[in-house]
Amino acid sequence: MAVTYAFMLGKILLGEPMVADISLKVALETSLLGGVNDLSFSNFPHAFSG
Amino acid sequence: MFPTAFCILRAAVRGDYEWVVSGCDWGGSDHIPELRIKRSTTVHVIAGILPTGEFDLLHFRRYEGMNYDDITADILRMHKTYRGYALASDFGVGAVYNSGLRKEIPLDRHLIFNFVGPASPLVSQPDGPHQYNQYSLNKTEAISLMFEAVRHKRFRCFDFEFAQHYLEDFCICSVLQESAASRAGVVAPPRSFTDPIPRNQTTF
Repeated sequence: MAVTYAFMLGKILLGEPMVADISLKVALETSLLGGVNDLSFSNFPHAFSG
Repeated sequence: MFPTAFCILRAAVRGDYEWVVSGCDWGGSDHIPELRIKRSTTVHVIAGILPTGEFDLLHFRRYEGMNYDDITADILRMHKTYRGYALASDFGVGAVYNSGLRKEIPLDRHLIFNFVGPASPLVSQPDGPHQYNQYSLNKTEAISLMFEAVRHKRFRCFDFEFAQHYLEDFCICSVLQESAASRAGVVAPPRSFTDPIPRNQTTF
C-alpha cells in the first residue's frame, strides 16, 4: 500500500478534488502547502471572530 | 536504455518534478499460512509527480524485521536524499513508528492514513481521537483510483521488469494481477521512463 499512500498524497498536493468536506480540504492543503497554520498552534481551532 | 539510479536521483534533486513524495507502509506481523510463520515487512517508496499528474516511481525499498529505529532512519535518509517534500504512511502499530518519522519531518508534511470502509468519504477526519494530520481513507475508493491510474498509464517505472517484483509489496495485489492480465493483452503495464515524457526538462 506504500504506493497508494504516495499516490493519494500526490493527488492532494496537485489539488485534485479528493476531499469532499471543503473546510477539511482547505485545512489539509494549507497544512501541506504552508500558510496561516505556520503562524498558529496546530492544536488550536483555526477559526477566529471579532 | 533505462536510466541509471544516478540519473533518477539527479532528476529528482534538480527539481524536475512538481513534487517528490514518500509512501510508507509499516509492517506488522503478517501471517504467511503456507510457511506457518509471521513476517514483518515495511515498505517505502518515493514517487516524483509531474504537473500533468503522472507519477514516476523513483525508489523502492523493502525492510525485513522489526528494527524500526534503523528502518525509520533509512526511510528518512532516502526521503531527504531525493528531496522529498511530504510523506504519507499508515497508522502502523500505534503511534510509535510514526513518531520516529515526525522527529525529523514537519508535522504538516506527514499524513497518516487510516483505511476505513466503503461507506466513508474518500478522505475524512477520523471520528474518534486521532493524531495531528491523521485522516481516514476509503480503502475501496483509494485502490480503485490507483487502479484507474495504472490503467490510464499515469504510473511510470524505471524498469518494469525490475519493478514488477517490488510492486507485489509496494502496490496492491490487483496491480500485480493487472500486470499479469496485461501480458495477456487486457491492459497495458506501467510505462518505462523510455516512453515520451510530456515535459521537456524531465529527461534522463
